[in-house]
Amino acid sequence: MAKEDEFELELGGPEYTVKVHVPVSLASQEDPQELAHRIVQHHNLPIYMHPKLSESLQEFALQSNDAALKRPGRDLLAALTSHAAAAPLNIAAFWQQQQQQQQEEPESSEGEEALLYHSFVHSREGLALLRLEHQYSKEVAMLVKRRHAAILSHDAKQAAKLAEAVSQSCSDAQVNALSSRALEASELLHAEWESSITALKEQQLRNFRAVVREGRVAGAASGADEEQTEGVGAAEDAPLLQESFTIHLGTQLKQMHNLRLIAADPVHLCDYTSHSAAADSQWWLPPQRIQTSLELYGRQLSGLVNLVDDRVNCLSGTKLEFGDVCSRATELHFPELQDQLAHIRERLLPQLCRGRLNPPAPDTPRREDKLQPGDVYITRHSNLSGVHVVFHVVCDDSVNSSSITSRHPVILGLRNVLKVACLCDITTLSLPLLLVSRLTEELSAAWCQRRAEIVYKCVKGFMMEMTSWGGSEMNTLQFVLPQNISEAQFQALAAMLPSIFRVSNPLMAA
Amino acid sequence: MIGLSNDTLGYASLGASTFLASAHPSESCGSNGLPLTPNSVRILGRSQLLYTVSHPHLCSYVSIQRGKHERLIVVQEFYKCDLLAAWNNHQEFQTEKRLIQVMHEVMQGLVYLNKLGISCCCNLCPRNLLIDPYGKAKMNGYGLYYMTEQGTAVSFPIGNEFSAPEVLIAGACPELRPAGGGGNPSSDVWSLALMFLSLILPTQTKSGHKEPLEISVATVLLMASKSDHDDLASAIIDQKPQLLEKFEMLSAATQDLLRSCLKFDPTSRPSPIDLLSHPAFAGLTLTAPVDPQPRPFPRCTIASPRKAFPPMDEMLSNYPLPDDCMTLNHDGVKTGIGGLRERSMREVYHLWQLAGGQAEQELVRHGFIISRPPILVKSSSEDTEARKLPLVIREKDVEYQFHRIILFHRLLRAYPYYRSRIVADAHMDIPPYHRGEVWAALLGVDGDTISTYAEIDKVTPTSTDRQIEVDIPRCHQYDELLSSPRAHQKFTRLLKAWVVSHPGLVYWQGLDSLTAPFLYLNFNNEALAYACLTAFIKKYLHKFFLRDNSAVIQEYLAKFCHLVAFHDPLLFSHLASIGFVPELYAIPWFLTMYTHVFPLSQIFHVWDTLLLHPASLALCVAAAILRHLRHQLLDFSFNDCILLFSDMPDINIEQVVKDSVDLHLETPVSLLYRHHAPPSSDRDTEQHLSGPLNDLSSITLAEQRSEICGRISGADVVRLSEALPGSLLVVDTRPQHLFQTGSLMNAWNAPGELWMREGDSPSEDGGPQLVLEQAKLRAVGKMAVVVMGTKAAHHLTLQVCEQLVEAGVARVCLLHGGVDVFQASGHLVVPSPGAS
Repeated sequence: MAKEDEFELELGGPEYTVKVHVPVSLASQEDPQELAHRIVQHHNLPIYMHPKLSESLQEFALQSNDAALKRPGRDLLAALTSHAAAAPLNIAAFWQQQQQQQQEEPESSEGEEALLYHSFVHSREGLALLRLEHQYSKEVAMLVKRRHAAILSHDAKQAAKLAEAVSQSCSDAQVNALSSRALEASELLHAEWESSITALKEQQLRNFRAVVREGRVAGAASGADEEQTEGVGAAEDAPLLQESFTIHLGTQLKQMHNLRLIAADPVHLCDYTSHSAAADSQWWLPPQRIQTSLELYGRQLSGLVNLVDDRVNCLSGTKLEFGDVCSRATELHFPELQDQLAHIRERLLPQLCRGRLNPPAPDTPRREDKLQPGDVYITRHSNLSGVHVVFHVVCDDSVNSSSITSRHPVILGLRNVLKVACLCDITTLSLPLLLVSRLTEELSAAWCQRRAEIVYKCVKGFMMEMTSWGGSEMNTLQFVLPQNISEAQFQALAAMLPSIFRVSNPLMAA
Repeated sequence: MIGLSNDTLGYASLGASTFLASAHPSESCGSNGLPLTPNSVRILGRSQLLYTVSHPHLCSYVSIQRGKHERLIVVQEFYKCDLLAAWNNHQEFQTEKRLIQVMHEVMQGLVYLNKLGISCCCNLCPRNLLIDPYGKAKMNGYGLYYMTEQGTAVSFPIGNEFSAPEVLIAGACPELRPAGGGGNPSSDVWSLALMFLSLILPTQTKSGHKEPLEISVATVLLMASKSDHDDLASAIIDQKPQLLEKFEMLSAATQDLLRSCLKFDPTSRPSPIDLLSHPAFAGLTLTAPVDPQPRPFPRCTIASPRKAFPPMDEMLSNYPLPDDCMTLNHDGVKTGIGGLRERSMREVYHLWQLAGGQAEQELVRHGFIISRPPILVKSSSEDTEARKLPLVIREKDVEYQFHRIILFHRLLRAYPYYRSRIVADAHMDIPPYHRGEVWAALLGVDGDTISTYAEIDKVTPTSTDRQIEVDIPRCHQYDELLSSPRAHQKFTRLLKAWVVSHPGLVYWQGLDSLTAPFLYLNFNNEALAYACLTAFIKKYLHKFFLRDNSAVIQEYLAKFCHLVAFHDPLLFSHLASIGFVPELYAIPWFLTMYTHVFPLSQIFHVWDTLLLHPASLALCVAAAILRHLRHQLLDFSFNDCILLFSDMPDINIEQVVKDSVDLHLETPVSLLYRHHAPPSSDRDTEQHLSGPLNDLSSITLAEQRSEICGRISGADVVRLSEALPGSLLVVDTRPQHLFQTGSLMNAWNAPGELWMREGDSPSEDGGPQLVLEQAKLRAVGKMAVVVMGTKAAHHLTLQVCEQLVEAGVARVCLLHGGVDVFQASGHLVVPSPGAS
């Protein structure tokens, strides 16, 4: 609306007439009174003319604003009669729909269950529910363990048989037949175990849902409360190398964050079974489980950054380990990891790639849908220790290079992770400081220093940016170092952290 | 008829509502390359104007807050009875006369809003038209369309089945939406008339029950798209002839009013302002002026005593009053208004928040709620214990704040007459609720601030515009209000106004930070913010904004050094030895009076105290900051120090402020003398500072900078030794024979040569070491160590001072003008023999 209207007014008596003629821009929204002062000053008019001028300008502004707003309204109406706008009935339907939307509470059954669970787990009976969950995962873990043992012994037996056959100098054909039979048998065994584990999980899931709906854990002794204190395990076996810091970020308003540097295997971190199974007592509960379950549908989620390659599955490397950890307990709230990954692979990935090739470059050959370094996919979990959300950040070999900059796709991927974390109330996050999960020979101490420095600095920058994203502040950020890092190196990187994040000075009394 | 102030809580409840602003597409940037301001922040900035709305037919806005994830929460005056309920329950609301009256009342509200710059509400409907216990109409939710920038900052359309056709089309067809949003002043007129029509032509259900005539969106649009009729009223009657009879029973004026208000074409439909004098409203008078009145400071008018609430029997029968008004007292009479209900809504809400109330939590708990503030019992005496608690706690204490707010409310009304009382009470603390105006009072803002500000040209481009534009998006942007586009506009206007009206001075970076606290506290009263800024700079930053301000700043920093050397010689020596001079860190402290260094919440506390003291307190604040970081600074190398101050660590600001006041008290006035200090307005001190004993104006800047000690005036020495005998150690460095001719009472003669002797062979009267040791002993517990010599041997006196400071003797200062100043004043006495 950069429209200007002409304003005209005659002031003063017959012997001294002043004709004011000014363009008035509606867009500037200037206060008419101030405009009148400017006119009086710039044209050296007598001050007694100000009130009249001011008043007329005020009226003029009101009127021209009124007219300027009404004109487009008339055009809209014209569009309706000339059928340029949607048909009257469609518009009516739109408004009716709006009205209904406002009245309805959009609540899916998933949301309902979440609410149910959330209030249950925060109630007096909550502990019993957690024990049930823990009991479930122990059962599954037991079965998984037995499967492992059975498969091992089976394989050993088969190997012995095969060795015997070879030593008895059987023909090649016989040996081949034997080995293919062995393979078949082992596949059968795998399938059997798999199906019994799945059956157990399904049964647990059914039971669990029933329990949550009912709001009571059957058989839970009402006296459970008394045993609460001893029932909850104390924090145990913290990683050997760890150090915590408190920092304040922000130029004027300081925001407090906790930082922690630890050396650990990130997958290991979220595995309940890796925590010392201190007590096999049926009342014992790992404290992490309580924490994780209480916050599951809360507003302070925990996340973990996991480095993966460009294939969405869990068949190799850390992905296999991670898949293992997930399969060791029933996923009682979300789809199983395999299903989540399949959904990403089959639904989201094609969409992403289509979007990326927009507009499709004609000369590039049609590639298969693939993730690129820096891409992130997210899975949700309820059966991991201290982790609700896992960010899978795609990396390639370029992260091993000694010179990555702040514009490297994986670093930008970290920024996206932090942004999602901020917008989705994930207030605790663990991420691999060196962007590699294991230290190898090639990665020297100097390399580690350089890498740590750039990641520290970039993360600091992202955290400072975070205040403008309008979400939750990061409470705790945990930098994870490879488990096989030397103590000297750990100390060097721990010393670097406060120098970059400027660890806050303690408050001092006078 | 209603004598209540519009913002008194009275019988109102407070209603909360919430909505989400639409999110920007991820990672989008503005034309200046900066990230886009979130829509919730834009809305928050615009919504501030709504706080100024004060009209009997408009529900006041009490609070507009921003939650996480682009949520906004609006708290507004609320009544449990809306127009439809009144129509259903009270026969009189079904009559033409009563409905015309309601229409007239709403029309006044609309004219008021139009004049304020809110051209359209867009969401008028019976639900948003509340009826107060006395049957007066009160519009609710009228600011939504305005604050969301004509609905562009939210993802839902604003409107309902009573909206004008242009609003309905614009909402449903975004591609046709004009820049102005489609709504215009006459859209509200349509909604109002349509409500009237549906209520005055009700339909009878089979059970004999009356229901408002239903006119669907589809009907309206279909009729609008055909061009058989110009207005909806005729079209409807044409379609339903059975309504004709009822319609014709209405007075001719009303029929005409409805026909013209329901014109399909907005350009031929009248606006609210055209309608106030419509014949249908003949005989009705305005309830209140329809011109928004700015809130002047000082008030200049004596408020008429508040009239009593109308008696309860004038209320509508069976009106759903808030629970606490319904309780019966001992005599079985309804209690009605009392206690907190006599205070303003915003005050009550403020207290409710202090008591732990959170609108967002209430909303979470209920989905939607009508929250009634917890009622406090007025205690008979102020809680004196509370005064001793730390400031941050006192600011959160409901009961304490309740008393403070009422006290300051009364004092401020009587400003400027009661300025001295305000100053006295501000010494205790300043309630955050009234901080903006209390500061204005402390700064002595007076006169017609509104006109003064209005006269300043804030539009014509100047050469500083570019710099201002660059600085504003970097100024206290962590604060959501100050980061909104509306705040940026106001910043620009304030800064331009200041630059234009101070021709001798220029814009220096930092002026933006200085403006921030005043803008934050007086967001809806730019004129007052401007007046405060001007007064503040005049008093605290005199000459700092000269084009060449180097002399002023140099002198200021030199004084700062003297102050540090005076109070903490050890720290001074350490910083001097590593070369960490105040030029490197303290300029932004002083140039912005700490506004660039601390967040707003801390600035408020620093300035609460600063405004009560002379300009020299600012120096002491800096010294107090150093004192707080002393332990670290003493250990730190140059690089560490630079790092420490490049990002000010979080410090206990209340303690710093307290210490700075103590430091100020412990520092002789003349030590803080600055050549460029603002001319004192106080006539007593003016007189005081003239005369040979007082006059310090002969010190040059070069001397100030090169000397490590500050100079004390003869008058200060006399005053201190008279007021507190024995509080001074006067070191007379003249040779003994001169000393014998006369010196100050109790002066200690330590001739300059003693200090200078090379080597430390202990001779008869001791070497430099011995003198120093003696000096240290004698200096213990003294308020000041005054070193004096002859004017001619100034260098010698100076060297003695340097030695004392280096040795860590605190509170060393140098007598300005030497012993010579006392020659004519008669303060010199001949020392009794034996005194050395």
